[in-house]
Amino acid sequence: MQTTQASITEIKQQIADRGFSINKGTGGLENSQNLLISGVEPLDQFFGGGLPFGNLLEMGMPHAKGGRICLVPFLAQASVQELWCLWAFALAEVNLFAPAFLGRGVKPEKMFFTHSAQPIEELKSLLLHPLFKVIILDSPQRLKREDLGFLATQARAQGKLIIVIRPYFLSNKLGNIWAHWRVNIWRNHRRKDFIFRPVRGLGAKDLQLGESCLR
Amino acid sequence: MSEVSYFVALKTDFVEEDLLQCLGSKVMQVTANIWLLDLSPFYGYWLKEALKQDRVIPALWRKALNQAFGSEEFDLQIDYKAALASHPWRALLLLFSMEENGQFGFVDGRSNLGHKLLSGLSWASWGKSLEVVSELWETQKLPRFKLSVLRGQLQRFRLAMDRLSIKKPSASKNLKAKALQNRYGKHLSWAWGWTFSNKVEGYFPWKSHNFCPPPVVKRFLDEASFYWEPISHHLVEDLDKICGHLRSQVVTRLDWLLTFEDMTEVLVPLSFRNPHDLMSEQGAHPTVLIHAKNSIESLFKNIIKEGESPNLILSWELTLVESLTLPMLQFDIFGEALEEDSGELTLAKLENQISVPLHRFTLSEDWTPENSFRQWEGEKAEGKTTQENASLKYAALLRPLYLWKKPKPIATLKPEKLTFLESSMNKWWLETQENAHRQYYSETSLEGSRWVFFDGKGGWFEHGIFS
Repeated sequence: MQTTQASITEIKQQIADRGFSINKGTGGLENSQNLLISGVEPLDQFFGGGLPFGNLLEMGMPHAKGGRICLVPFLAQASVQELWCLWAFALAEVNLFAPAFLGRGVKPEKMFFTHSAQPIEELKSLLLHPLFKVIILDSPQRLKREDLGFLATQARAQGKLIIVIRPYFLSNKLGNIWAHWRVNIWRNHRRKDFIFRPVRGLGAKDLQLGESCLR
Repeated sequence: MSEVSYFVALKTDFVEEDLLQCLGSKVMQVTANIWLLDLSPFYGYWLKEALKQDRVIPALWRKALNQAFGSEEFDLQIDYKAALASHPWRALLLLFSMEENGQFGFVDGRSNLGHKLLSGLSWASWGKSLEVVSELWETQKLPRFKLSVLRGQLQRFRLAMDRLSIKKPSASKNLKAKALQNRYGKHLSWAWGWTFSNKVEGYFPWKSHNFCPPPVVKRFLDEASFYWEPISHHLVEDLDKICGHLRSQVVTRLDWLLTFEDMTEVLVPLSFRNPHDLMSEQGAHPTVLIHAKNSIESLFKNIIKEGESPNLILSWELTLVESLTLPMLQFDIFGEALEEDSGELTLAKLENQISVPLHRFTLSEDWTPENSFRQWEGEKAEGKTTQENASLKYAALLRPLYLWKKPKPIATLKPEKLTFLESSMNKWWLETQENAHRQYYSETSLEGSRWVFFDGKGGWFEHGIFS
């Protein structure tokens, strides 16, 4: 019994050392800095402790490069914390394969999916309302500079985390002043790891994350 | 995705139009006292209600029907019969089976009792159900359908079953619908197919019941216009007039028939995903205005695209097409209204203001990727971690985030680029299944990684993208 107690204390200490605490109601990891954590230590460290609520983030993830999977642990933690999450995707010829999310610990209760090519028009009421705390817009079409401004303003006003995924690699040639961070993410198929390369914010160092960390 | 039960067959002698619309606005009269309710348009609404009240959806429907057609407190007073199934035909079969067994109240076709009733269904009830549906085909003048011919075919089919000593339909479950078509005609084969599967083709003679004439408001604009401001102002006034006709209903669809300067008419349906309380927005109607504005904008966008000068709106007609009389289910044990909103109520309102539907999914115990998930119905994930569930979750880790709606054939593949992932067997015993045996691989190239499979017939297909 004592051994179990000691193990629990040790785990709690490890979690506390990383700046988190366990929510007794939901069992999810929390931190006091209004960050969404993934529970994957190197990933959270790379993002300075987690993804910051109240911000717009832009991520470059070309299709077939495997980068999107890196967002799923964040969604899993958000769903454990009972935060309302939305994944809106624009590709018309595909269906989203929900088990790939559910198998990685995303709970179905507050995880929503929708097909939306033009989310600013089609999902405006959701973006203006504080209900959904995590919104991922995968490859939105015809997103203008003022639309990005609108997203950043709503993220700040409603305390949301809005992530815009681009189906191409980001560069500094075409900037985005509204995004708090800009980062390219892809999977290196030969080395079987994920590469996180900051374009704006987050320092200059890449992160190489082993595939097994995301299982 | 796997099947969801949306259809309720209801038998009651106590018919009041408002009560029939207590679960959904799509209602069909089958016979004098048998009704079919299609609850699919409001499934999302009922799901939210179930979540709010921490119940499963069928329990909520049972409660609503008890309230409308019976008494909650005393089971003896429940004198209606209602059967829930994923196809209207199966709902009717279940209803006739309930009748045969003297069963009252609400039966879910997926429950143990439902399964028992369906597997015990007699040939007499099956024939009775076909007789009812065939009369509807006849009334609707289905092309190349003759009631007398079908009756003869049914008689011969029953005789054949008697000779083979097959006592009930469930005993010959494996008999394929297509096999019956040549001998007993396509209509009988449709009914046979529906008995055991939803994925069988065929025309079910659905005909929505027309309730009392709907309220209509007509508007003639002082000046033809395409500016949103005057249009919205008059529209709010007209919506308020519609509210004057409502008692306790919530609205699910309004038709806005616009007449343009050149006297052309365009119908703009203003439908709501969740029942909308029009009366609560009197004087402003922001939800309807969002819909109407989007419709008007896309209408004029199309006109301008075509390079024509805008055709101005001259008048319109606003009709309340569908409404619901929701039962009072939101009370706690002390009869106090439940005020607390866990977010589901807000979500229901927000869903009425967006133009795309939102979905929640859960795992389905099925190995084929296409069928391994379904719409979430409010069930809690806890306590459901079966061995199958755990292995399905593991399989999901090797599968991609996006699947093509239909696997795309690939001409050639280089074997050195392939990594074997899994082997799966489709439901080869179902007629509609394609690519029965599949060997899944990840195919990696400079462009990225694709999820491909090699089927039993030697073809390569791309099924998903590792996004």
